[in-house]
Amino acid sequence: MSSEPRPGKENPDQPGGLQEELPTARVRSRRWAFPVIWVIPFVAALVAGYLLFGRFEEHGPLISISFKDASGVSVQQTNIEYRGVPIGQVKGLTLSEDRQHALVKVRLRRSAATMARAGSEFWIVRLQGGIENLANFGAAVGTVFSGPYIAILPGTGPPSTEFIGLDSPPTVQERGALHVVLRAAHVGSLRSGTPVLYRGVEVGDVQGFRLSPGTSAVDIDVTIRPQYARLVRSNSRFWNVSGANAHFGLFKGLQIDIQSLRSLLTGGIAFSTPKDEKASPARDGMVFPLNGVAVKGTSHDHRIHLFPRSNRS
Amino acid sequence: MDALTACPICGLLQRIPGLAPGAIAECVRCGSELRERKVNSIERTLAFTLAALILYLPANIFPILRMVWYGAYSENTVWQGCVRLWEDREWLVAGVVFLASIVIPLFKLIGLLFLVASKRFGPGHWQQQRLRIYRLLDVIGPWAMLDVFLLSILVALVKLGQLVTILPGPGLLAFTAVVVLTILATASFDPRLIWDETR
Repeated sequence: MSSEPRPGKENPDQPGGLQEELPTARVRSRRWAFPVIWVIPFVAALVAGYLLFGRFEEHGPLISISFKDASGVSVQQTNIEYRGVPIGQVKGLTLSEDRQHALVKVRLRRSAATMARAGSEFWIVRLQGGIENLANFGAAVGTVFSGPYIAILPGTGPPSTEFIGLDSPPTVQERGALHVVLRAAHVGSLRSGTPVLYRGVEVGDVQGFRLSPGTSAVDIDVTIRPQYARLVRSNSRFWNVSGANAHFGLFKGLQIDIQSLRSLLTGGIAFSTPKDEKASPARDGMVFPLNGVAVKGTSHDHRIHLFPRSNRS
Repeated sequence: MDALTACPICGLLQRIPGLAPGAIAECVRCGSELRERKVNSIERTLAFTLAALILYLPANIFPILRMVWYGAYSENTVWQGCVRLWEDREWLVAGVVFLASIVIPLFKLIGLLFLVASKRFGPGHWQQQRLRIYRLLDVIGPWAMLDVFLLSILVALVKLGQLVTILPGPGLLAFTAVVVLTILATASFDPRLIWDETR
């Protein structure tokens, strides 16, 4: 340094080369000294813990269901649902060793882990058939965009991880529902999903039909929802209200019997139960005859009078 | 003896007298705070690094993106994104995303943790190696995460257009936090500390 040494305080920009002439920093007291910094890892641990806990909740047991046909089911997308609530997701899709079945691996949520028990039934809900399949229409129409889902009917046995899926929805989709068989001469317009009406209220539906053992009649499987099961007794009578019945009488005018708009489209089955204390509640699987027309004195259907009656005797 | 320090703002070299606990030095010219070393460097770096490492796990196992396409739902983690790019024969892009989003951030955090831990538990050793690690961290630092990640979101948006609803997943929060915390951790580390031990 060739410049002249000067006192640092007067000219701080030219402090010179000697330490003695450097200015000395001012000293003040610290304003606050809380170790705020350790809040950050603490918050990070909280957030991470929260996220991991959520994943842990989703991470229930892995179960395997074998189906004859798993078309439409896709990995990471297809859900397993119970009462419309997703309780798990398909995580894997493989063929069984003998290539006769599709093995669907499903990761259940932890909260639904207890639903995988021996006796649980699984089936795949797809949109299929035409307008006659209106029973599950609401459930099935959603599958147009989102693909099918797997439905479960929880069993009551010991916990299990291997299941055999049903090829078609089970006859009884809800525990406590009543299953009865109606024997008819002809199926007519009845299809699975056709409503069963009691005083015009839908209390159940047709699950399917098959030829009776002697092939002389048709057996129609019907389920009645649990809360209505007690309406069916051993003396109940069932009749077909498919479509609309039109009668033209000279004095009565035109009468059209329609149970509901849906039964107009898809047909329907109505029943009534005469008051009789001796009649016992219907047992599961009980067989009833299906009458073609309304049984006299038991009909509760609503009649629409297009023309006023000419006599009201 | 007094230490010599240049003011970080105005550059004035000045002497700092021995400070009592709780006292700080101020620049005589501009009044900014004078420090011999970065404030609480070890503690801050350690805190930020630990926080980032804690969040690194959820950032990588949770979906960053969730897509809804006419009811079809899909989730994507960073790792799945890499695998997908690899399967689509975009090897270079897959490699860059993998390195920038998964490897380099982890390397950086573990490197910083090592530097801080060695300062605390093994002072005076492996100074050359530690310097090399620090230099390496400095070089790879800009390659970590954020830009590539944003680019990948952009690609998804452009490719899928209006047909798809894209939602941020729970991993996004963790991922962003890791990015920010890593930046803070790097910024609060003071490499001069490596040599302080020899004094």
